Amino acid sequence: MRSPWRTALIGAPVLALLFVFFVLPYGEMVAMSFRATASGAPYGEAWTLANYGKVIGDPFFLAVLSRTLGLGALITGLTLVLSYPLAMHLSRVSDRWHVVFYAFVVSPLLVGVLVRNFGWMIVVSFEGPLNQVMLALGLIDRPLRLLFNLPIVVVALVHVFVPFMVLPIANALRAVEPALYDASASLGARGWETFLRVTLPLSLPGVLAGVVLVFVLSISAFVTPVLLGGQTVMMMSIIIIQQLIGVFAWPFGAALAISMSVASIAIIVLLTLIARPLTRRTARWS
Amino acid sequence: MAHLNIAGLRKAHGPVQVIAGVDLAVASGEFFTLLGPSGCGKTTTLRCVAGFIAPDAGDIQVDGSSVLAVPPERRDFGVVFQNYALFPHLTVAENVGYGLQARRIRGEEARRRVGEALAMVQLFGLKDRLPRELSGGQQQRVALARAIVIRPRLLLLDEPLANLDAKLRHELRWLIRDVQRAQGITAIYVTHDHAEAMSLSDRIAVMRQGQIAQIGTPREIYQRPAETYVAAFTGETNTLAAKVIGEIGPGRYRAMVAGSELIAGGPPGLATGAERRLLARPESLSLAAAGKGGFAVRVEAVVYVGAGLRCEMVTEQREKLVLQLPVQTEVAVGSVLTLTIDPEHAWLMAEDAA
Repeated sequence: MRSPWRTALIGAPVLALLFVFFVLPYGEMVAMSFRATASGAPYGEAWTLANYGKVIGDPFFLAVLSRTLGLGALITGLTLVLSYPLAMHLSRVSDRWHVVFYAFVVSPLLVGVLVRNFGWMIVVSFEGPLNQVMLALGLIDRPLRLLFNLPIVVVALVHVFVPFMVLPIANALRAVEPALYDASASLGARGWETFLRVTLPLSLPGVLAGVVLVFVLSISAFVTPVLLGGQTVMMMSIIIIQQLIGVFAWPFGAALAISMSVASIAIIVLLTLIARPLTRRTARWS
Repeated sequence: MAHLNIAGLRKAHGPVQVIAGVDLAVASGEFFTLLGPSGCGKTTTLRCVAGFIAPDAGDIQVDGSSVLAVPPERRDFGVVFQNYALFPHLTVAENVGYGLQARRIRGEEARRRVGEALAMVQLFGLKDRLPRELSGGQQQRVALARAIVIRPRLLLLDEPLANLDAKLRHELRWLIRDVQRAQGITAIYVTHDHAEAMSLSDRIAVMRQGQIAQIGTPREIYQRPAETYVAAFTGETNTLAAKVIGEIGPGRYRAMVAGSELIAGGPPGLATGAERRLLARPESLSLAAAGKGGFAVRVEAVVYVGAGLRCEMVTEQREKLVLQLPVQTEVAVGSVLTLTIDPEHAWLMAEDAA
């Protein structure tokens, strides 16, 4: 017998896990964000909208929020531009080499987050190998201060997010029938025209998946901005942790977190909605 | 209208010589077919003509000038692929209009030409559908319309009917022929189906292991194959050992076959005593009237196939023969019969070289 209950049963362990460790805490956090602050307890008894009033009312928090989203967009854009050619290559290599390239692409993920960031700190530090090499080559006169600024945070995040962008795009491109490129050429389309009218529109589902993943990962990044950005990079995740652990303002911290979730979900929904018309639009000849 | 010349074409893939020296000439407006089993180099030859792959050696000329240096997008050849290769994200009209857009033909003219092309392949009212909403036959009609709407110099078809069922294959076969005739386009057609090749083509090149075994009209290829390979690939075949006894006219010989003497055609200049294979298509064999010459065979098996009786027989020399007899014929397994061969359709071939 094939009933929906049987399939539900197969998914039950994961659903239970998600319920206990995702739905319940999230619900708790949403509830907490509407509570008053209290001393000696995570939150008070009274219900209030004041936390959200503070998020929206204080230009500082709105500035951090928009800066975080902007930085997320920048990192996502850079990752996309760097990953697309790599994905095209990965989708075209023979099966034998595919595994090698696959391992190469996911290599940033093989190192734990702390080790990777400490690695960056060592590589780009004042006396680190990067400065040494540049000095030796005569590219610079004295060591550059490369650590504790925004560019190094962006570089390090793009580095680790590349696999999340490459893999879905490469999958979408692998599904494109190779004869389509021949067909396009035989009909008179030049290389870049084939790319714009065929390759790009057919890869957009993969691009969308990659963009959503990388965007969500970048705006919620914490370890890299803290370790490599020092005090210079103020991101939403850092402010939220400050509120929760530094100030013990749990209800306000929760309100900040929920606000950011709502903002990012809104952006993802928007991206998903424009993806289909965008596919149609790119495919059309102007 | 364009004519095509291929000279000394070679292409290796690793250690395998996929095309090992192909020469052929296709006249303007001709329907020319490359026929052969998979791996014989026919598709590779077509892809070289289309410009999708570059040959290692040789030349491909259209209207007397080489196209080797011309990229596929500027060759002006329409290509129809085995798996249709329609753009899945574009509607029927957009697929057909793709080549016009690439030529910067827009607006009213583009619309009119797309409409004409769709009418030519007899597709009506589907222009806003996506390819996945169409049947295989409809998709291949769209692909054909897309290839001809650009008024190509050559129409290249790579096994366009291979993915379709038998009924659609027949329908589309005639459609392709009609469209090619109506447009007067020179067409190169690749297939492994001899019936398809016979019914469509003005001329056929039978290919084997990267080379052309024989070029000729369907009639020549079928009735006067140069060697047993060509005969076997163009239809059902019986071959018998034959020895030339003497020439009785230009291309007419007296030959010893299955212990009896008979008359058969052959290429000019066969020496007396030459060992050949005699081609006897099943339809050229018949039961001999009593006392009328012919050779003896024993019936090995009889199978009722509806339209007739399919009989397997052996000669006294243990050579096998298959032929179809009318249903009403009385044949019993084990009985001995006398067969004659229609001398107009008996042909002396060279032994297969490979």
